[in-house]
Amino acid sequence: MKREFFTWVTKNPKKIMLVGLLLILFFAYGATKIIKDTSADAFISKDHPALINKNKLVELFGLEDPLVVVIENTQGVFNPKTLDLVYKLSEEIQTYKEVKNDGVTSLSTQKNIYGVEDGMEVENFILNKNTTLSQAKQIEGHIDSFPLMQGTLVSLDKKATLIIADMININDAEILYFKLLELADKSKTNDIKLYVAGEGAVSGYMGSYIDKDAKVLNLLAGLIIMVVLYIAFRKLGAVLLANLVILGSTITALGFMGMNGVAFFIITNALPVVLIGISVADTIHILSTFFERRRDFPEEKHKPAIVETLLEMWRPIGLTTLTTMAGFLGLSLSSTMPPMIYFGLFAMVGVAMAWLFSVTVLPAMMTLLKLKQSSRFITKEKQNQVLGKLGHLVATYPKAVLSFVVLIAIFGLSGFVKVIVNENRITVFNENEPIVLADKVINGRFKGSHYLDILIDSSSPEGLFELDVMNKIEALQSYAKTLPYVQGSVAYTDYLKQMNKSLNEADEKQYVLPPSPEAASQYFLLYSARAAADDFEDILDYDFQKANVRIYINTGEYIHDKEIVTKIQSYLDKHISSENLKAQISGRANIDYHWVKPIETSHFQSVGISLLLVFLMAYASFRSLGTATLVTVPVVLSILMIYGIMGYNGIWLGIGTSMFAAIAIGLGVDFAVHTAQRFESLMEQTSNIKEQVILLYSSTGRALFFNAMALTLGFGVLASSKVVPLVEFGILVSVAIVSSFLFSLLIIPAVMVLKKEKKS
Amino acid sequence: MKNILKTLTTIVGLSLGSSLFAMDALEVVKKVNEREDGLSVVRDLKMELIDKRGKQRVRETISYRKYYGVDKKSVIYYKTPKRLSGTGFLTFDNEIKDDEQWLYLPSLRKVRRVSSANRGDWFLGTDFSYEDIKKETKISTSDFDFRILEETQEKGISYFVLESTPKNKALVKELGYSKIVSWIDKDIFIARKAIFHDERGGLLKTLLNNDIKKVDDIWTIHHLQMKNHQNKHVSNFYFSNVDYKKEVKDSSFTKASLKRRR
Repeated sequence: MKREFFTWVTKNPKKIMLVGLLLILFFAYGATKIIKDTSADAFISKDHPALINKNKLVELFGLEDPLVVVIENTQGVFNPKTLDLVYKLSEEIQTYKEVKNDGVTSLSTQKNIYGVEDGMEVENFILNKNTTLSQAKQIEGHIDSFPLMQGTLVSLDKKATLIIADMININDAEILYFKLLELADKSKTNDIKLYVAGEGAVSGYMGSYIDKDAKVLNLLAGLIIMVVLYIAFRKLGAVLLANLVILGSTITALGFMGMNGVAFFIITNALPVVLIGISVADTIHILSTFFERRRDFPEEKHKPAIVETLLEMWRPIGLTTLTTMAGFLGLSLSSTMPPMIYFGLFAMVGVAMAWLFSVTVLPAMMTLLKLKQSSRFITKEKQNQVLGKLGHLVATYPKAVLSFVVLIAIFGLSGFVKVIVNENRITVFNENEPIVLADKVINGRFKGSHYLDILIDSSSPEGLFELDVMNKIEALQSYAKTLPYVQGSVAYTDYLKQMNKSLNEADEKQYVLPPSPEAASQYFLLYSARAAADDFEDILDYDFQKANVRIYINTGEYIHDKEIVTKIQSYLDKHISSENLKAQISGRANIDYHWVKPIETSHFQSVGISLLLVFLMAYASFRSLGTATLVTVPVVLSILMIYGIMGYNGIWLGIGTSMFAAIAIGLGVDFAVHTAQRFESLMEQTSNIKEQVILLYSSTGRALFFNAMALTLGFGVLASSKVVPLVEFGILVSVAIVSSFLFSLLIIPAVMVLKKEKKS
Repeated sequence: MKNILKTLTTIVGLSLGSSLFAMDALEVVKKVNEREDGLSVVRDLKMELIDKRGKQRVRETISYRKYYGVDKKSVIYYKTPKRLSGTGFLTFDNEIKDDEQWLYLPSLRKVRRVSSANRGDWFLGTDFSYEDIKKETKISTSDFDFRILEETQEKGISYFVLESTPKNKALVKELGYSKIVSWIDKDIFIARKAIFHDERGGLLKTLLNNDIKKVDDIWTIHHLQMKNHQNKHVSNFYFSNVDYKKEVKDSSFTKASLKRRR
C-alpha cells in the first residue's frame, strides 16, 4: 500500500508538483488577508475582567495610556527658556490630529489652584508664551505649594517637566510617537534634553520595533539554514527542495491564520523561523537517507531509490511530526493568551504540512530533478572516521557518559529553583533605545511611568463627597504609599485638599479634606467659576458618583506589580467593599499583572502536557515503555539545562522565554526519535552493540548533526536581535537543540550498551 | 481668462452684496442692541448641564439683575442641589473697570472673591463664556466686524444671517471665537440660533434660543441651549417666573446681602 503510493508519486511527479504549487498559491492568497495586532492587550483574552475594567476606565474617564514628552534641564525648569518651550510645544502638540481636544496636560494647560487674599485663584501655571524671570520664580512657588503636581507634572528635583498627550485612538500611538520624537529632536538645545515616553509610547513603538527586527532576522535565519543545508549536501538542488517544503509549511500556516481571521501578533514573528527549522529537518533526513542509499546500492535505479528512501523514512518523520505537534499542542492547551494559543495551533498546521510536503512534493521533485548523488556521500569510510570514533567512545565508556549526564541534571535542577517568572515591557527594547532612557528619567525623577488605577463607585450622585468616603479614599492613598515602588497617587481628594488650603489663607495646616460634604460640593462650584465643564473628567464622573484613584509606580516589573495589585486588592476587600462603596482595580499595571500571571502555571503545565504527549506518542510508536522513556529523557534533560542557564544568568521566565520549552520539546525530541528509530533498524543489520553505535553515529548521527546545526544557527541568529526577549528566546532554543542532540546521541546509545552488557 | 472673469464677477457680486439687502449689518446689530430687556429682572433659572455620557448636573437658582447706566449687577442664589443651597454668586459687570465677582460659601460661612475672568473663560462650568452671559443677546460693536450673509426664511420666520468676526487676532484669542454666525429674527431682533467657531476656525458650539415669548411686553427667551460640539457637553438654561416689574433693591447686590440671603 505504502509502496504503491510512493511508486505512484514517483510516476506522477508533475501532477503532485502542480497540486503542491496550487496549494501554496491558495494559502498565499489566504496569507494576504492577515491583519496585524501588535498591541499588548492582545495577550489577554477580550472577556478577561482586567481588560473589561481597563475599557471601563477608558469609557468613564477617557484614560488611555498617554504619550509623554519629558523636558529636562539640568539647571532646573523654572526659567523663561524652558517654560517658553513647554508652552510652545504644548500648543504645537495640541494641533496634532491624533491628540484629543484639550488632550494636552502640561504647565501651560494644567490649572493651578492657590489662595489669594479673600479668595481662591484658578488659572494655568504658565499664562502666556513669554514667561518672565519673576513669573518663572512665581510658578516655582506655586508648584512648591501644590503637592499634587510634585513628581507628576514637575520632577521632584525640579529638573524636568512633562507634556502629556492623550490620544483619540490608541491605534494612533505609533504615528504620534514618531511625530513627538521628531518634535523632540527638533526642539533640543545644549542645556535642554527631550525624551518621549509613556505607556502609550511603549505600546505604539513596540509593534514596529519588533516587527522590523524580526523581519530581517527571519530572513537571515532562513539564509543561514540554507547555507548549512548546502554544506551538508553540496547540492543546490537540495537547497531548492528544502525551500519548497519550507514554503509549503510556512505559507500554509500563515494562510490558515489569514483565512480564519487570526491576527499576526508580536510573537507570531517567531513562527516562520520555527517552521523553517522543522521543515528543513525533514528534508535533511530524507535526503541523507537517499544519498546513503545511492552510495550503498549504486546499482539501484533512481525512482526505486526514492521509493525505498520514503518507505524507510515516512515513519520516523511522521513520528517526529507527531511529537513536534504534541509539543505545540501542549503550548496551545495550557495557555490562556490568545497569541500563544494560536501560535501552538498554527505551528501544528505548519508542521503537519511540512510532513505532507516531505512525503509527496519532495519525492516528486527528487524524481523530476533526477537528483544526482551528493559529493559528500561518495565515500563511506571518510565520514565514519570522526563520528565513528565518537560513537566508539560512547560505546566504550557508557557509565562515564551517564555520570556526565547526571551532573548536567544536577546543574539544571539547581538553576531551576532560581528561575523567576517576571516580565517588564520596557526591557523588550535595547537599553540604549531613547524610549528606555526616557522611561529611566520618568521613573527616576518623577513618581513613575507605570499606573495602577482604582475605580471607586459611591453608588449615588455626589456620594463621593460623603466624609467617610473621602476619608476612606485618603486612607487608601496612604496605604498605597507604603507599598514598595509606589511613589504616590492622585485622586479628587487631593484637589479638595488643595482647595481647602487655598480657601483658608494658604495655611499649610489646612491641606486637609473639606470639613463637610457641602463644603466639598461648594469647592467644586467655586473651582468651576473659571474652569471648563470637563476639567475633572479624567478623575471624576459628572455627577460625582464615581472616581478614579491613580497610583504611580516607578517600575514596570511583573513581580512588583504582583505584590502591589494583590496587596491593594486585599486592602480593598477589607476596607472598601460595602454596598455603598465599591472599588475595582484597573489600569496598565493590573493588565500587565494579569497577562503575565498565567505563565506561572501555564508554563509548567505546557511542559508537562508536551512531555506527556511526546511520551505517549513514543510509546504508541515503539510499543515499549523503556524506549518511550529513553526518548523522553534527553528532552527533559535539555529543558533542565535551559532552566539552569536561566536561573544562573538571571533570565526571567517571561512571555517570550516561556515559549522556549514547548518549542524545544517539539524540536528536541526529534533527535531522540531518530536515534531510537535508527537503533531499531540497526538491530536488524548487526547484533554487535558497539558496531550498532558506530553505525548510528556515522549515518543518523551525521544527519542529526546537520539538523542540529541548521536549527542552532537559525535560532542563534535571533541572538543578534535588538529585541531582548527574542535574543533570549533564540539563545535558549539554540541551547536546547544542541543539548537535545547531544543528550540523544549520548544517553540512548549509552543506556543501550549498558542494557546489553547487563543482559550478557 | 475664464478664471479672471469668474473672479471679477465674484468681487463685484460681493461688494454689491451688502447693499443689496434691505438693512445693512450694522443697522441690524444696532436694532438687536436697542431691544428692550428691562431695567431689572427677577427670575428662576434652572441650569441643566449634561456631559458627553449623558450624566446631568441640575442646579435650580433664583437670579436678580439690575442695570446701573451701562454697568450691570446680578446675583444668583442656588436653591438646589441641597449641598449648594444658599450659595450665592454676585457679579458686577463694569464697563470701565474690571468686572468683579464674589461667591458665598455657606459651608465656610465665607464670601470669597472670584478673580476677574477673561471674557473667553467658561461661566460656572457651563458651555457659555463669561462674555456670552454678560452680553445676553446683545452684540459688541467694538469687538466685531459684521456682514450679512443672506436673508432667509424658515418655518414662517424671516432671518438676517449675520456673520460677526473679531476685529483683530488679539480679540480672537480673548473671546475664544474666530467667527459667530447668527440667525436673527427680523421681527423681534433676537438671534434664534448662533454658531460659534473656535480660534482655529473649527466648529465649537451652537446656541439655540427657544421658547421666546412676551413677559411684561418684553420679548423674553425662556430656554437657552448651548451645545459644545468638541467636548459634547450641553447646557440648558430654563427661565421661569420672569418678572421685570418686581422691585430689586440696590442692597441686594452687596457682599453682606450674599450672607444674609442664607
